[in-house]
Order: sequence, then structure tokens, then C-alpha cells
Amino acid sequence: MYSDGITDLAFLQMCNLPIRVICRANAEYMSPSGKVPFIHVGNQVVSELGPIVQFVKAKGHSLSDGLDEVQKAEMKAYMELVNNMLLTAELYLQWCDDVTVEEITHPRYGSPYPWPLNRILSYQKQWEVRRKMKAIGWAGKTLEQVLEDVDQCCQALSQRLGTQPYFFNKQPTELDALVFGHLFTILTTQLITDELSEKVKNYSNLTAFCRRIEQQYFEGHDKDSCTVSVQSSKKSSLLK
Amino acid sequence: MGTVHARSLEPLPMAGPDFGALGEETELVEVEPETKQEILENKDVMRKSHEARERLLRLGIFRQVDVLIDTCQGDDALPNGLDVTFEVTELRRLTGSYNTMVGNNEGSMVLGLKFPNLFGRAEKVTFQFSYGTKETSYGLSFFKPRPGNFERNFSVNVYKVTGQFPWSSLRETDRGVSTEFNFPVWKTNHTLKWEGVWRELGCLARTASFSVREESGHSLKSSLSHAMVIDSRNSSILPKRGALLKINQELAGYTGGDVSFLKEDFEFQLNKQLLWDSVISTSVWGGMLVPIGDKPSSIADRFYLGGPTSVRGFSMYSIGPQSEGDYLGGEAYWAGGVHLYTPLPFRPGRGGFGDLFRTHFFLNAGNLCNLNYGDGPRAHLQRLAECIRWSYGAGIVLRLGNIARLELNYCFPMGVQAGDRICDGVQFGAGIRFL
Repeated sequence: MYSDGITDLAFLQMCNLPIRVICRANAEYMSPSGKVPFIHVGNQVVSELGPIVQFVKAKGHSLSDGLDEVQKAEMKAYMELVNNMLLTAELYLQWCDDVTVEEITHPRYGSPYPWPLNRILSYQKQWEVRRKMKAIGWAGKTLEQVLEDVDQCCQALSQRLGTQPYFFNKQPTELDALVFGHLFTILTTQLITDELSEKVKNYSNLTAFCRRIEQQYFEGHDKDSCTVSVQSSKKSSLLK
Repeated sequence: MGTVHARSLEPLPMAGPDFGALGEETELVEVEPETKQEILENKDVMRKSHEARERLLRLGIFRQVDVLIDTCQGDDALPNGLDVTFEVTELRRLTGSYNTMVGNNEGSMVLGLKFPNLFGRAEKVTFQFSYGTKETSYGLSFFKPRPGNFERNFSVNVYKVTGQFPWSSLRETDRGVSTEFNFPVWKTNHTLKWEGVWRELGCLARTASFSVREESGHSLKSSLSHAMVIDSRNSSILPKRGALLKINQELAGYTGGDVSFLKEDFEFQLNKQLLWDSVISTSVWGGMLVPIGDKPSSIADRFYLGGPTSVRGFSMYSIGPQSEGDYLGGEAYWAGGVHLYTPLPFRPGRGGFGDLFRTHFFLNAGNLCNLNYGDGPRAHLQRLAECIRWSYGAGIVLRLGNIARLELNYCFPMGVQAGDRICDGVQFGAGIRFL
């Protein structure tokens, strides 16, 4: 999931840890849990945001130390909201909307592989995602309903953010990294229609939030600690 | 009766009660017709009938073949002629088998189906399906020999196999299609094969090294290969005399797929009988893998060395380049062995069970490494000649039928390099192909 990559990258940048990003076609299979991205530190491999946060905390870095118990619970609640809504909406749009699947997702997912492997693997992934959608009850939803859900989620996030720079006032936390990861992906990924990114753009404080984080943590660091070697590149910069 | 002279032998038709009834096409087995001037001994007829019987059995479509030789009878009988009759009983049209297998913390059910003679010309279709607690695999194959010339045949296979390689912490699932042609050329046997395989590699444990983790994922290999075999041994297991030469080359990447390499490997074995029923045998193996293009070679294509079936005294495939205890294989290798096989001391069970056992004394050596292809052949030879692993020892070999053998050896590994895993002392091995 591309959004997860940005999330973890943002989180690690916020913790001020030096990192090197490498894109590989088989990253999904290299990961111990099957999810990307994962970090490789020494001879340990850790994947997914939750375990990465724990791992980094065990090494002495944490972003949410300054929060009290109530705030921590609130942060967890918002993170769940984002995961349930935004992540699932992204998956739905990529794999369950027929036009998008045919024109964008299949060629992109299968691009590192030769024929016929590219078709086989992307159909396999599509089948897997659709089965998951059915299990959580999203299979019956139409595109409009999904967009409606995204809108509600953005509204909740926008209200919580208000006019503050970060969700918990002065300092960024995991929630900021997570929200940034998803919103940035939605705003920059090329799809057939712009409806999804339009929903996010309706909330100006969210777009300002994304731009702020991008400027602070990504543009400044591009030259020194972050080397990106991309094998299958699908990215464009923020706000075309 | 005196000497029987047969003037000529007619081509031998198939006769038998079951054969015609099933509507199968009769197949003529051509036996060279002798000219009328030549006089054949009775022995010659018997030898040729025996050969013909062996050939019929080799087709794999008859359960039983009986030969009946009698003097010619009837109106059109030649004066000194012989009637050679082959009585055959065919196998059933469809045979099946069902087994259960247990091993390595896994149980599985294996179902096999076979059509021994699908269209009447000894075409075979076999299907095998294995359903286990951990893995499922299957294979479907179609085999067709050329009528009258069994050595010329072709087969098509579709398969899925899974393998677990704990020495590399690697799991591999292969789904593939292959077609192969076999044909003899003078004394050699050639095989031409095309194979397309979808390979999926994964880590066997969370503790797999990162080098193995990097190899996980999917790849597609489409390759053409050619193999040549010359075999003059009297048996493939514990031969007493003769030699074997096998040369195999494989070119991948030019017919599709994303794996591209040229792979060569050879196997040579020479056996000679000495006094007192003992046999000395030498064998040499070697191979090289050259990746084409800038992608490095895949762990699934590289060579492995070590173990009870290759360089004894070392653990299974535990010689050569490794990372954190996982063996990655190498792009070039060689291995050699000298063996002396003698009958068991004091020859217990002679003439019966004791003949299946042999004592054996061996000396094995080998090396496995990666070559830097930029350097010349001299540098390559130098690399292969440094850090040679070798071992010596003695043990007992048990012959299983004509296919496999079991060995129990006491080994002394030498020349051990940092990173190799050894198995000094008693080592047990079972298999088909031994160094």
C-alpha cells in the first residue's frame, strides 16, 4: 500500500531518524507479514506501522510521550477511524472499481513482471482484496457511498485539526504521520477521476496540513539523508 | 530333434485373445529379416524372441508377455520354419493408486491415475495429486513413444511442486509446463526440452537471513535445454564396469520470462572391476552458471554442494557461500570421488541377501564458489582450486532394486572452510544419484 509507505516515512522523519528508502518490486514478499513497507535495522526486519512504532519506542524514540492517557486514547480512536475509512476506501477504489482496475491498477501492479505472470499476479491480488471487502461488508457499496464515507471521515479530521498545526497542538504524533500518509496519497495518485481528491480538497485546513508536513519533513531532507531509488515509479508531487 | 535351420523369420505380429477384442491397433515389431542364404541357429531365434519380449514389456502396456516357439504347422508352413507366438495380456485401461504419506511433521494423501495405453500406440497419461497438511502438489503428464522405436519419444508435463530447503531457510513453489523430446543418435541419447516455470520463493522461518529474504517473490523462467547421455554401465546402481557421461546445458531468457542465464553441467563416472569381486569407481561432476544481462542469478538456479549424496562428511548442501547460516549456493562447482567397493568382509549371506550390500572406501573432494566473470579462465581455475573441501572414510552400501541405494558411512571431513557445516562421524544417506 503506497499510503503506508508515506506514513512510515513521515513517522521516521518526524522522529529524526536517518533512513534510506529502497523500492523493490518484491517488497511485498520480502516482508515477514506480507505488508509493506518494512524496515531493516541491523539484522531485524519489522513491518507495519504498529510494530515499527513499538520498535522505535524500544530504541528510545517516541512522538507521543507528551500526551496524557485521555489524549492517547483519542489518538488511537482517530487512527482506527483513518484505517477503517481511508485505507479501505483507497483499496476499494484501486481494486473494486472496474474502470480503475483495468486501466490503472492492473498495469501498475503487474509492471515488474513478464507476461503471463503480470496478469496472474494482479488477478490473484484483486481476488484477495475483493474477498476482504466482502468480509467487511464493503462489497455491496457503490462508488458514491464510498466517497460519502471518505467525506465524513475528512470532516471529522478537519474538525479535530481546527486551526492547529498538528492534531495534538504543537508536536507531531503518529496520528499526524498516518493522516499525512493517506491524504498525501489520495491527493497525488493519478486515478481515472479526481472525485476522491476533490473530497479532500474541500477541507482547506487538511490540504494546508499536508503541504506543511511535506515542506517541513520532506523537501528539506531530500538531499542529505533520503536517497530514493525507484524501480517502479508512480509518484507525482503534491497538488498538481 | 537335431539342429533346426530357419530360413527366414517373418515379421512377428501380435497375437492373443485379449488384444484384438479391445479393438486396439496391432503393432508390428520389426525383427531384421535374414536373407534366405543365412542359416540361423535355434539360439538366435530364442535370443531375438527374448529381445522382442523385453521391448514389448518396456512399452509398459502389457502385464504379461509369453513367448511360444514351435515348429511350423499348417498349410503355408516353411519346411524348417518356426512359429513364434507372443501371448500378451494387457493392463487395464485405467489404473489408479492411493497412498498416504507421513513425514517431516506433515501428512499427505497421494492419488495417482494412469492410462497406460490411451490411443492404442502406448501413449501414457499419468496424473498424480498430493494433498497434504502443509502443501498441495500435482502433476499431469502425457508421454508418446514413436511406434516401433521406443527410444524416440516426447512428453508434455504440467506440474506444481513445492519444496522446503531448510539449509537455505527457503521455500519454493514451482508451477510449470514442460515438453521434451528424446531421441537416440548412434550410441548417445539426447533430450531437448522447453520448460516454463512460475517460481515463488519465500522464507521458511522468520529468522531467515536478509540475503534470502531479498530473493523472495515471483519470477518466471522460460528455458530451452539439451542433455546428452552416454551410458555403457551394466547397471545404474553399483555398476561393475562401464562408463557414464552426461552433459547438460540450459539457456533461459530467450523465450520469455524474466530470468536469463546459461547453465552447463556435466557428470562423468568410470567403473572397473578388480580382483576378488571388488570394483574401483571414479566420478567427476562440475557445472557453471553464467547470468546474462545485469540481473544477478537467483538462488533457485544456483548449484549446491555437500551432503551424503555429494561430498560426504558435510551437512546437506552446506558448503560454499552463506549468510547468517543460510546457504546461498554458488555459480560454479566441481566435485570428484574415488570409491572402492568390496563385498562384505567374510561374505555373510552370500548368494542371497548379502549380495545387496557392499563395503565401500571413499575419497571425495569438491569446491563451490561464485566466479567473477570479468576475469579470465585462469583466474576462474585458480578460484576453483583454492579452498578445496575434501573427505575420506568408509561405510556400507545397500542396493535397493535398480533405482536407489542407502549408505551408512563414517566420514572424516577435511579442508573445512569458515561457514561450512560438517557432519563428521556417522552419516546416513539415501538417494538415486551419488558422487
